[in-house]
Amino acid sequence: MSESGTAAKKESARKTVKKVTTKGSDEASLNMSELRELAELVDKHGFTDFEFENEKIRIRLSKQTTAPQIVQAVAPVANHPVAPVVHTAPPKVETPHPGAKAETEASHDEDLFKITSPIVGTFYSSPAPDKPAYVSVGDKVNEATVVCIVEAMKLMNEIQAEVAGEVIKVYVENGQPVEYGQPLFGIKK
Amino acid sequence: MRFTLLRYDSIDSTNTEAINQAKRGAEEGLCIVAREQIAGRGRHGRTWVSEKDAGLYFSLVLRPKIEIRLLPLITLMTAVAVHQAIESAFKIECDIKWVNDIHVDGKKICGILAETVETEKGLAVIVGIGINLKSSNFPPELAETATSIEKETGADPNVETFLPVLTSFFEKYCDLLYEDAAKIRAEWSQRSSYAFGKVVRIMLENETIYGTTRGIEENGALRLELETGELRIIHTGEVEQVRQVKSKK
Repeated sequence: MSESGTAAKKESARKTVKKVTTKGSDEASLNMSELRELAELVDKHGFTDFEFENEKIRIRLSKQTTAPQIVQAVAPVANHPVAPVVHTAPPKVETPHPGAKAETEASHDEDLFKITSPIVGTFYSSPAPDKPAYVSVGDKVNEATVVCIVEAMKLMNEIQAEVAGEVIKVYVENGQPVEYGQPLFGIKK
Repeated sequence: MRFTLLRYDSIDSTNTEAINQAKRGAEEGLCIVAREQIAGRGRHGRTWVSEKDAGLYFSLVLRPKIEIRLLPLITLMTAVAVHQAIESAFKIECDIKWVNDIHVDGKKICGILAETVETEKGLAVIVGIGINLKSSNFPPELAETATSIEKETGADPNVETFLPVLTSFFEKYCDLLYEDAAKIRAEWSQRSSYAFGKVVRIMLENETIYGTTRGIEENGALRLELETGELRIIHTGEVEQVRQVKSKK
C-alpha cells in the first residue's frame, strides 16, 4: 500500500454507458456485481489500464489517480440508446487545476499523449510552493520542457514533456502521491 | 569512479553548477565544492544557509547504472557515505534520520538533496550535500535543531583532509549500489535508528500521521505501521521522533 492507501478506500468510480443496443442487450451487458468484481480484480493486480472486447461488448477500465474509471460500451451501435444502467458511485468530480482554461471540445482524452510518472513519489507542479506552476492548461511545450517534479526519498525527478504540443489536461494535483506509470498530463500533439 | 574536484570561492549553488556541468557533458565523478553559496537550495526552494567556510557545500554528478525505480536509493547511498565519512574523519557518532539527514544527538549536521537532469549523454543525478562545519553564525531558528562538526569536536575542522575521505566513501558505496542495491539498504538500516521500531510522526502534504517504523522498501521508502495496524509506505514527508517532539513542550 502506498501513501494513497487511505484515499483509495474512498473509491469513486465514473462510469459511462455508451449506447446499449436493445438487441441482445441482456447478454451484452454485465451486471453490477460482475463489474465490481472485474474492477477489483484489475485493481488488485495493479493494472492502470484494462480492456476487453468481443463481438458484443467492449469494456475499458482505466485507473487514473486513485479512482477507477469504468467505461462500458456495447457493439454494434444501437438504434435506441438507453439511459445509463450502471450506478455504484457518484460521478467523479474533477477539480480544475489552478489556472486551468476551458478544455476544447475536440480534446478527447484518448487522443492525448499522456506524460506518465516514471517513479513512485509525490507530484509537485512547481519548483517551490510560492512559485508558479511549471506548466498550466493551454501552455505550449516541447520535448525538453520541464512539466513537473516527482519527489521520492528527497530525489527530485524533473519530468520532461517528451513531446511537443499543448497541455490539455492536468490529471493530478500538487502534493498528490503518484504511482509508477500514472498519467500526469494530457498533451495534444 | 574518477573524481574531479572543481573548487569555487563563491558560487550561487553547487547543485545548479553541477546540473549545468552535467548538461555540458560532465562525467560521473565531477564534484563541485564551494566555500560559500549565494543561493544554496534545500527542498522546495527553501534556502540552505551557506556562509563562507561555515559549511562544506558539495555536489556530485552521477550517471547511475541502475533501474529508474531504484534511483531514490542514491540518496540513501549518499547518507551512508557521508555518515561513515563524518564518523571516520571526525570520530563523531552519527545517526541517519529517514531518509538522508545526518544527525548527532538529534540535531542535524548534514542535509542531502538530489536532483535528476536529462542530458545529451542520458540521465544524470546531482547529489548535493551540505555539512555544517561551524555553528557560531547559525540563525536562532537553526541553533536549536542543528549542530556542526566544530561544536561536536571542539576543533576547527580541516576540509582538505576531509574531502578525500568523503570521496573515497562515495566511491565505495556507489560501487556497492551499482553492484547490489540490497547491500545499500542493509548498510542504511544498520546505520539508521529510524529503520525499525522508531515511533515517529510524519508530516505529509495534507496530514500528519503517527506510527512505528518497520524497515524500508526496495526503493528506500519507509514502512510505517499506524496505530490502527495499517501499513503505510512513505516516499516523502518530514519524519520526527515522537519522544523529542513531546519533550520540547
